[in-house]
Amino acid sequence: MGFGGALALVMGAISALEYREKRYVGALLRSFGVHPAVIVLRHWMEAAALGNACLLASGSFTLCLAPIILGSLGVPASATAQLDFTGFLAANGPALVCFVNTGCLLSVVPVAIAGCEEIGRVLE
Amino acid sequence: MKPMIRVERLTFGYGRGRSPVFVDLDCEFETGVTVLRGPSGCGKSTLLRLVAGFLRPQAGRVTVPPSGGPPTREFQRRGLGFLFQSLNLLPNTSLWHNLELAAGIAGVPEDEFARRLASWGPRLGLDEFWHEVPARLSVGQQQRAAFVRAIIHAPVVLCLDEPTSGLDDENCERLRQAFVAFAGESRHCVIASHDERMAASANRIIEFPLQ
Repeated sequence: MGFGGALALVMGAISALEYREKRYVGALLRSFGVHPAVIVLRHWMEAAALGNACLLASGSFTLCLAPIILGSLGVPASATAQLDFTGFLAANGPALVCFVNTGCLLSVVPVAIAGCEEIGRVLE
Repeated sequence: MKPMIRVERLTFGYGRGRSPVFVDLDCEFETGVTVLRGPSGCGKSTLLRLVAGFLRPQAGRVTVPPSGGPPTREFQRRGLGFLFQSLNLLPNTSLWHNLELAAGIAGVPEDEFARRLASWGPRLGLDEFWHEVPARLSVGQQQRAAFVRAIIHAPVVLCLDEPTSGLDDENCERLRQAFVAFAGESRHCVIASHDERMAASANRIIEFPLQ
């Protein structure tokens, strides 16, 4: 519970700082005449590319490294062999892809809200 | 008819419960250098932001050259150069990239961008610093770099918000000569400043408050 709370606090602080930076950079780009929709689209593409690349990487690492890591933790090879990582990923993959991409889409909301603010109220 | 920046019956305030900054304000800015002079908090910067289209008036309108219409996104992209009081240079990237970003958005071709940097760099003493990040430069150098960013796409309207605040006489004079040379007779250069040294460069001075 405590670990979860600390993690939430750290992630919340990072999000707040990230939001401030995105708001500032977005306003600066809009002051150069960039359309807010372009900024939102760019943010979504960046988030989707990173999120899906991380998902792919984590799936690949699970398949390649999980038996080795479990082995190094003392789990017998016979037990590791019975674990069906491929089946697990095949069954849960679509849901994971949905979660990640929903997250990417939701991450755009603060950027879109910041895009509605007047530039002159953000930049000094 | 000469292209002018026109402010007609402009009303603007920063929110409920606060007295409006302008009520039914009318003024015009001709080509050349116009200095808006007055104490802090009298609305000079606010007027610059309204002219730039960075704030929306509550009533009245602002029209800008060359279209004679309100400040649009296209105007901000190609027709406007704005030097913010806090400069707003991106901190984690070099001056070159800061300027390249602004020039790229405005559609300045790469060879033209390089030519303009080669022209303005020596005049403003910046040619050795294009690849430095802003934090490694003095305030005066950052101020001059932000000025070059504002003019890199050769805008018709140049708004400078307190461009010489914190600058010594030498740096102030350098910047003053640069914007006078840039404005010439065909561009609008509007400067919000309470710095008396700016008066020497002005074609006209508008004293604030204007009510």
